[in-house]
Amino acid sequence: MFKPFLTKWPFLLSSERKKGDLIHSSERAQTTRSDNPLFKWRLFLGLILVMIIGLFLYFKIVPFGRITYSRAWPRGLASGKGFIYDFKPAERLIVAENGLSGKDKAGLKVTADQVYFSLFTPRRFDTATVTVKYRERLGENSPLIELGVLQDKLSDSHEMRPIQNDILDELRFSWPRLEDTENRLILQAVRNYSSPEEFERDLNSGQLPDCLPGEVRACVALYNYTQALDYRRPDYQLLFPAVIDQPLRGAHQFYVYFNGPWRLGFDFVDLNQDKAADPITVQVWSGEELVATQFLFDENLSPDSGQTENKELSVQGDAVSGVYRVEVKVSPDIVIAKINSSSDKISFIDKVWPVSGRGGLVLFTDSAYLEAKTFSPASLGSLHFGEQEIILDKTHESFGVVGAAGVKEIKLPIDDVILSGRGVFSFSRAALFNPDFRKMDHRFTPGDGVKYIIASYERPLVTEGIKTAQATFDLRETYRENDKYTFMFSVPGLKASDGADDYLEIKEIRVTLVGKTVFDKLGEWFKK
Amino acid sequence: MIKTKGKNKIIFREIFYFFSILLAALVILEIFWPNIVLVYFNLNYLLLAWLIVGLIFII
Repeated sequence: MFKPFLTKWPFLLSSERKKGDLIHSSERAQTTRSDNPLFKWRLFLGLILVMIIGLFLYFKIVPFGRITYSRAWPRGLASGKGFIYDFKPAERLIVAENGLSGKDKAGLKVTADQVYFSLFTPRRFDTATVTVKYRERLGENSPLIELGVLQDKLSDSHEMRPIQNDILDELRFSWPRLEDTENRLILQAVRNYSSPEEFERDLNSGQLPDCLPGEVRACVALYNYTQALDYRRPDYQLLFPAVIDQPLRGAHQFYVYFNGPWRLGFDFVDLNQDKAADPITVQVWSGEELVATQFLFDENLSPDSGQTENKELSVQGDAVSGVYRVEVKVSPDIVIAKINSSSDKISFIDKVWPVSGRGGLVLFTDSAYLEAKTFSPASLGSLHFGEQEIILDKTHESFGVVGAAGVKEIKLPIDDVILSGRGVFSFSRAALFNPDFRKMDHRFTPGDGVKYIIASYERPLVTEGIKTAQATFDLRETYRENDKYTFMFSVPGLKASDGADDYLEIKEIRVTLVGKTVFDKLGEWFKK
Repeated sequence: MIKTKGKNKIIFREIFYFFSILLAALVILEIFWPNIVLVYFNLNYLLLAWLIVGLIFII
């Protein structure tokens, strides 16, 4: 049996013999015996070849559903591109490899807020646990370090997770701790409670000590924690239709209060200033439940032409009385020209970008601070935030100011300015309402009227000056393009242009991915 | 000495064949699944090794 195999593939045997040569019988026996050295050598190389290809296929499929990728500085002898790469923008980074300064000095220095990187994966996974080893020299203006993964490319929204929170690390020792477990941290300014259950009962009933009745949401701050939203306003019985005809650019989210059958109508203008298609998605949420959604496909017939296209979309439903969150997911190439709503209680969440060139705009917000940024030189100038003035003298840069407590008026002489804060924005004082709890951010100060903090946060571990923190992400609905997930380091308040020598130095990023195994996939396939 | 020289030539020839098939296989894998090889290994090094062995074999 072995002899026909070898004669079928003569390349396995010696090819030194030419056709027509006389072969002695003993030599013939040798050329067909498996102890032919050339045969052994080729078999050996063939096995190595199969093993190498098999190895690459194994790492492509990840049959057991779990794999870890890492990136460290210095990089060592790796010649491949790596799985964690494409750190940008370059002007916010300083890379120190293992040069003259020595191994200890090697690291990736982040000198300004928001640095992105890509994680290549050979297939989809369900969860990613990211472990970051780092050092930091950050000032008081940058108490937070967060890591996020891009959820939606159109709206540029990221799911953020804490890496380090200096505010909580300090308050943990100055405020009485009500609960401090892996899942939750509850701090109280004054020791009013001795058990988390009592606190939760009073929180749900809307009556907490040291908080004004009906204003519980303003005296509880959340960080990386979701508290169920049960916001009912009996005085909102009579709701009038409203039209917001101030054009807004790009993705926006807003709260709207409905009381029965409702309708939302949108007029859009596609500016066609870029080549990409501009689809439109509108989603209406009640808590974590999606109650309505509409999608408008973009044929992209005039990309990059500047020829505007008008589009319309409407969504409707029959609502139980309460607050709904509306997400308008569009790219910055789309302008929301008009919003028709059956309710006049509309407040934009965290950000608003009015455009039109009309100027003389007045808005209201309950945010404690305001940040303004513009991309247009024609929009440079000053604006007023309550009694404070913000002077915009550069494009592509944020300028911020902290205001007094309570609802403040924003006067915007020239629009096309992105206004952002931690709160809600509206175009009339009557329309302004905020059903959400206070959110802790980098500008949070303990004396801000907050009496209780609920957080999901673990302090980084410190070993020989290197800090280690971990963040876990659900990747099932996460945006993935060209086999890559996009992550972002966020250090609010960190600026390269302020002249301070502050930075975040990353030593290592390790990502453990967990997903379905081959057996799970086969099981699903058979079930079909 | 001639036999040794002949043996070395055979060895380099076989290594050349091995690198040729390996290079072709890895390029095909890259075509079907982009980055499956490049994330781990820069194929230029394998190409260089293949060229060097090929030159030694010819010479």
